[in-house]
Amino acid sequence: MPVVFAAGVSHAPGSTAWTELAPSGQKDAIYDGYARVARDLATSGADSVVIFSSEHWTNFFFDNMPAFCVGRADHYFGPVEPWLRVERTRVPGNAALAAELLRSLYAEGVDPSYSDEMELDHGTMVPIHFLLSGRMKPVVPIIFNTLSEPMPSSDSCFRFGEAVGAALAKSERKVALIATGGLSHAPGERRHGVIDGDFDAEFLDNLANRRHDALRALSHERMTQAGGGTHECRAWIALAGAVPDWAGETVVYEAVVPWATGFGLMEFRPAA
Amino acid sequence: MSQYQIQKLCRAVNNDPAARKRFQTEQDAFIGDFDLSDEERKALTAMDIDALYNLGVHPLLLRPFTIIAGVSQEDYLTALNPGG
Repeated sequence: MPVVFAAGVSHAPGSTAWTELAPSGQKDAIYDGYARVARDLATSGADSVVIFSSEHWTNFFFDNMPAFCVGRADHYFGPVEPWLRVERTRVPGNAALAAELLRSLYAEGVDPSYSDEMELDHGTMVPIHFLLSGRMKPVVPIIFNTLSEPMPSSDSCFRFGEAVGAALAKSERKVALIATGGLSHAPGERRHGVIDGDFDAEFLDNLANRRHDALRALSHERMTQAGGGTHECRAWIALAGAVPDWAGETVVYEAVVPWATGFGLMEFRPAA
Repeated sequence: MSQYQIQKLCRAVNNDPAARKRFQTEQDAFIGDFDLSDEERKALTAMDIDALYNLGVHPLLLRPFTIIAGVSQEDYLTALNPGG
């Protein structure tokens, strides 16, 4: 049994840190959506969770910036942000699954970095908070450089995802795969708060309809235009590569201005 | 211009509780540990958000750095867009 569940989720820190600033209808739709994804993950039978997420200067910096880094620790602490309003906690890691995954990837000539000590920031702790609170499963965080140029292209991320999917397909474990980041946002920029609804709609539509060529061709420039944080969508593109026969179904999409993010939740299922 | 060093300082304040405390309680000594230009030192001690942005502090370092300093999203955006 390889991947038994897959979803893409936004991790805007406003969803926990300044929840009350969002219009209640949007906040409720997102909280209900996250509750549905959490329920579906719980009933999928997954025993571990592999999380494709984005670097936010927590583990890496300009002194050393891996394109992809697989967490191989048996536990992690997070969040690193004291203002996130998520209690700092010890999150179990699945070191054996990470080691198995790395062996498979390296055997295929796909050579990510790996780390036995990583801190978790909002990029992993927001999804963990919403999806695993009270029913924690061991995680394998895989961190993508979506911050510092050059960064891996959409096509490179798709191929990385394909390799992870193929490696997990050989595993005895039942894995939930979560891609997190995006959608359009420009955190900290002069245009902080601007959301590119056209980008988000097209991106979700491409995932829903398995338009992999369009996802692989998504340019760095188009993502920059939609806001610097939009580069995090690379994690979703990798997920599409990992479960290429699965189609996405939007659970919720809301452009939440006070959270400065086009906030999307999407579940993936084997295409009919 | 020492973009690497000033970003290293911001990252330390954002991520490391001990560095955060030193920045808040013995700022001059803490800043002195980094190889910065006068302009960079001035922008930090004045918490001049627009200057820090123009000096090349990455937006995802600068926004958390200002959240820790208690700057609201509205005030952050006003500082970066003084013309409105």
